[in-house]
Amino acid sequence: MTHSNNTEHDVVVELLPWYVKNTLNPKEQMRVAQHLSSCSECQQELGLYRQIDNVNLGTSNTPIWKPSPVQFANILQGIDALETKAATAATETTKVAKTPGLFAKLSAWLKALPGPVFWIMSLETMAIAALVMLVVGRLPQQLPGGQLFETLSNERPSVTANLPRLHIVFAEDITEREIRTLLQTQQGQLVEGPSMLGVYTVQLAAGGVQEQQAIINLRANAKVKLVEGIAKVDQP
Amino acid sequence: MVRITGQKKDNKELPASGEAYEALLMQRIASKDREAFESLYYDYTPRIGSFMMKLLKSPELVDEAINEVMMTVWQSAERFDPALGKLSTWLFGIAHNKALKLLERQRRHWREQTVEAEDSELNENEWEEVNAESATVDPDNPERTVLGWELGEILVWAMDRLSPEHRIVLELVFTENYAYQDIAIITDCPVNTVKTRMFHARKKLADLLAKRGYSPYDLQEGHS
Ligand SMILES: [Zn+2]
Repeated sequence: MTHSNNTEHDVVVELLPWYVKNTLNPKEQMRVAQHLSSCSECQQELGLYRQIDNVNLGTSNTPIWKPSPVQFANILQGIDALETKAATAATETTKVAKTPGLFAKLSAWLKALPGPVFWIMSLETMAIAALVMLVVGRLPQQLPGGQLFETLSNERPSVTANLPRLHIVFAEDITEREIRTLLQTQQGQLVEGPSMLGVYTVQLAAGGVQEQQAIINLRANAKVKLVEGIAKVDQP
Repeated sequence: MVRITGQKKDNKELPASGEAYEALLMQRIASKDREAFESLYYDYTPRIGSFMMKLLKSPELVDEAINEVMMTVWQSAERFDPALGKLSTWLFGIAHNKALKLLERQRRHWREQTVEAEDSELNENEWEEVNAESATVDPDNPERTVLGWELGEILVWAMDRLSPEHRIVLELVFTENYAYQDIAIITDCPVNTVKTRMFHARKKLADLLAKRGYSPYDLQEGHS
């Protein structure tokens, strides 16, 4: 029980579990062996750790856990859900960022546009804003589910310059399924939105429903608050 | 990882094993390759799953933990650095966090059950006491009391009554054969903490055995 060097004992006694498992580096392994030869306390400790090791290895009664295709499928599903959520969160962040400085943002955006486009776009934007105010009676609410845009378009939709596009504002209580059906019947695709005013941009398919007809059809739906064609802006 | 391109310029297949394999596998997962992710799932979760089964003792909880581990892998694969250690060590680090969380949840649950009506607040040191008492009779086999157990069994019984941190360090040392340096990475603490924690785990174990009337040194004298 007596050890001439307390420090050496303190160091070695803590290394004993790994000495038993042979997971020390060779230098440490030697150092422990050397101390062990002259320290009865460490010898006793070593015996205890050997016993723990034997018992631990002997506990094979714990049921084995195995991976399964079902679990892996669940994990992938979880990932899909997570990624949709992340995409939605990104959309939400953009929306939130836009909300506070509505007019500041609006005018900054308009000023950033090149001259002629500025006027056409600003008129268009002001007009749609006025219409939205008129129809909804206030600045529109956040539209149902920020993930709408994500879920309704599988890939990043591309705006094609010469295809007809519409501005559309949906009723508050419209469901994603209703929007999907509505757009399918008009062969339209969401390409943008919701804007800070809650306006979505729908692009009609080439050779599909005519713009004027689509506007009439959409306006006939009670869940559609507003539909306006977008004047084509030629590339400068 | 740089080595692979040097060695196997024309071969885009994963190398069979080793550091290069692990680096490439994780690169692919970081770029959202689901096939690579599947390989990792089948190759690496059996070991982690068994480790967790020993700690959590419930396949449902282990499933839950593995789900979370895999999610973390998917989301932070790019953080794996082969220079800092093996992939299995990195995965054990993630698994350790999840297991610890679940063990603590289990522990709260047990405490609530044990002290239901009593209004007493338990502190860290009372954890072993409560569980020592509650486990005197094996719930699955009420006839078999602890007093009749063999020494080997009582050691298993005592290990199950250790705090999560102590239980985990014992598993990592004795079942998973990890060096203390690796355990420091896995548990995210300094190496000295690992050594001290192991030492305390052994002391707790001795205390628990003493409560059942055994000296820890009985164990080495050919009983059992
Ligand atoms: Zn000593």
